[in-house]
Amino acid sequence: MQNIGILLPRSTYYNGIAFDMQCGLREGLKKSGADDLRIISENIGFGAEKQPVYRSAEKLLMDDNVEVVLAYVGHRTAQLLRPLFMSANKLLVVLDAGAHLPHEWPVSSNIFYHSLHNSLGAWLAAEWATRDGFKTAGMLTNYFDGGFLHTMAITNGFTHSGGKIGFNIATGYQPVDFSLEALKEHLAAYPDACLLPIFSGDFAEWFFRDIHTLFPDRSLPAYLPPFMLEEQMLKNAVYPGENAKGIAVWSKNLDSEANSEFVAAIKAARREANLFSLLGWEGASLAAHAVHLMNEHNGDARVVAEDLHKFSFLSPRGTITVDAATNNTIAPMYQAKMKDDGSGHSELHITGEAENTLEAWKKIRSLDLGETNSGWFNSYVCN
Amino acid sequence: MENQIRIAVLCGGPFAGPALMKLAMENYLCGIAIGTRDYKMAEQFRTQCEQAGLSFSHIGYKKDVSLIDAWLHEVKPDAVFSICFPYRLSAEILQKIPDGFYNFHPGPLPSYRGPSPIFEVIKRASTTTAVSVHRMQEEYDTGDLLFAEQVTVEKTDNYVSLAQKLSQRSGLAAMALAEMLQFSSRIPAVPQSSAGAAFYPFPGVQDMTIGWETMDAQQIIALINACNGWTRGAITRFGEEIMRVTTVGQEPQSTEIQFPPGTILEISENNHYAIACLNKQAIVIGPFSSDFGDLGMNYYESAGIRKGVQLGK
Repeated sequence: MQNIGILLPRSTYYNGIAFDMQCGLREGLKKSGADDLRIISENIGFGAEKQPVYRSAEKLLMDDNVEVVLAYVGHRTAQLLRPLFMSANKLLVVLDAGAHLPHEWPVSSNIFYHSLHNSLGAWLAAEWATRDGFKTAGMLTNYFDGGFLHTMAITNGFTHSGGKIGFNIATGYQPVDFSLEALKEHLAAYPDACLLPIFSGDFAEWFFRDIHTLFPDRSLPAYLPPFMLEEQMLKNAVYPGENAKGIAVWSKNLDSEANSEFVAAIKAARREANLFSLLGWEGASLAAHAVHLMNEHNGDARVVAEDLHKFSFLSPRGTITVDAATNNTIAPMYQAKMKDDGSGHSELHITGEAENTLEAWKKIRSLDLGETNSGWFNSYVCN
Repeated sequence: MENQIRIAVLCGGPFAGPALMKLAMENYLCGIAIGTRDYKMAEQFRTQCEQAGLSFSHIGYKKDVSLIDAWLHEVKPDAVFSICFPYRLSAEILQKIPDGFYNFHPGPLPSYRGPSPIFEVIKRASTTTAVSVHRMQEEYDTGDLLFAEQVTVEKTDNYVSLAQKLSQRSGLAAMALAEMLQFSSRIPAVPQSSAGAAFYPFPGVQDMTIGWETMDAQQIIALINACNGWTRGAITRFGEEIMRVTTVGQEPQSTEIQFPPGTILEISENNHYAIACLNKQAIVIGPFSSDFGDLGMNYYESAGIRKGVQLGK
């Protein structure tokens, strides 16, 4: 029996994140006919501490002799692990929220990135805003979400398609510090502006709550990135009206056989399908194929990487391919609106597939990040 | 960070800049020793080290390399990174920190051992190269390999542009190894394979001379690119005159007939020369320069270099 490893995170808001990923991985392996692979998991907390992340990966490679490691970490932490995987000639599949933009795209044959593409979705959402005629926007975020470079993606997505950022709001991350009061003044100065909010988890809930409180009679135009359209969170989010829309990566209601099979498999395992079980499920397809190739190529991850560049698979969110220039997988993205679920809370409603996803991806890849920096090593939504 | 490891860097000049910057920013760097005869550059490094509170040593000549021993004793690093340091370290020095000396070789190993892998990689038209990180032993570029950071070589790359890419990538590799040393319990490394191993010594005049009658157009283009920025240029002759060539059009042109290779087919107003090559091809090179600088078109014209003459004779 061969082993694969997974580095699992911890999240205060998504407290089932590790269980969801592992469940997705296990069920995904079954679906791929690879349930003879043994999963060995290690917990890496919020992903912000380098030592435990490194030691966990080292243990999986050297003590547990795994062929492939899946890890819910960001690009910066993946960089930390890169030489270890190159030295060991094993494969790392980074399961990523896509909230950061890497300052460089150094392709290592030993690392593949499989992402929920929050930055790409943010870029597409901002482009949508300009297509709807908005020329000015305000970017809103908080201390935690603002530390990830998807803020660059959403603002650059807007300015690169002709818009102008009129104002920015960055609020605190403790409940007592979280305030969108400043929005009143900004919208008085920029009455035709749309909002480009970047929040996740409870911060996203608070955003929807506060705009409803501050502007009870208006549905503010807001263009949302994928994690603001995450279905588990939306159940608790006050319905913001018809003018809130954005880019989603997936919905449990996506109408496809692959999605129905995924949702049913997770339900049968007594969990509810969500973005994290989706990552695990898709990671299983990648891992199963990678192990197959490792066996075929005598364990040489560098040769396996070349074959993986040609790999594509059908996922619950559509066909996933690999961008060989960056070792990133690319998946379809979806235009979405929100609906009132009948109780004043929100429900995701997919309206169609987003266009120009690949073009946007290429633009993001070539984005000059200049002097931007970030000290955030956390895996996204892990705080 | 508690128990942060201390790294000393042995380098040969600005190529190590990105690595030094990254290591310093993360507080891994404790000292820099530079091996160079360029005293001006060494002084610049000394000043920067003083400003940053880092220990510094200048090794001007090969015979002084034993001074490293005393310097390391003073600095007490946990590991030493060698990034294009020009002098060989003795076994005695390497034993001071067992398994603690690492070389960042700017070329693939074991296929491009030697002091000038950047030149050799371009000259041989390789499409990829690497920064290869390996444990050091007394013999050049032979220790166990840890990892290699791959770098794509574009057709248009010359010595300078590729060196810049490798310099940046060395910075990434240096940080990667520093963190590996900081966080790992053991460093995986594999012996270099003897298959495909090759050592290229420092290129001599012959290696830099264009062989019009033996090299095809692509090989000549690659040679000129390999010499650009590192030496005064690839070498060609006309009689007693020795000319240097640093720039070349990257695509050969076809000719209707086979002219004698090296024949000047055209001279443009901006001092570019179309030269016949093997296989009914031609390349555009120029302007010429010399070991004494730019002598101008008139000089070469008066030396008899005009349309129809054959270079390399």
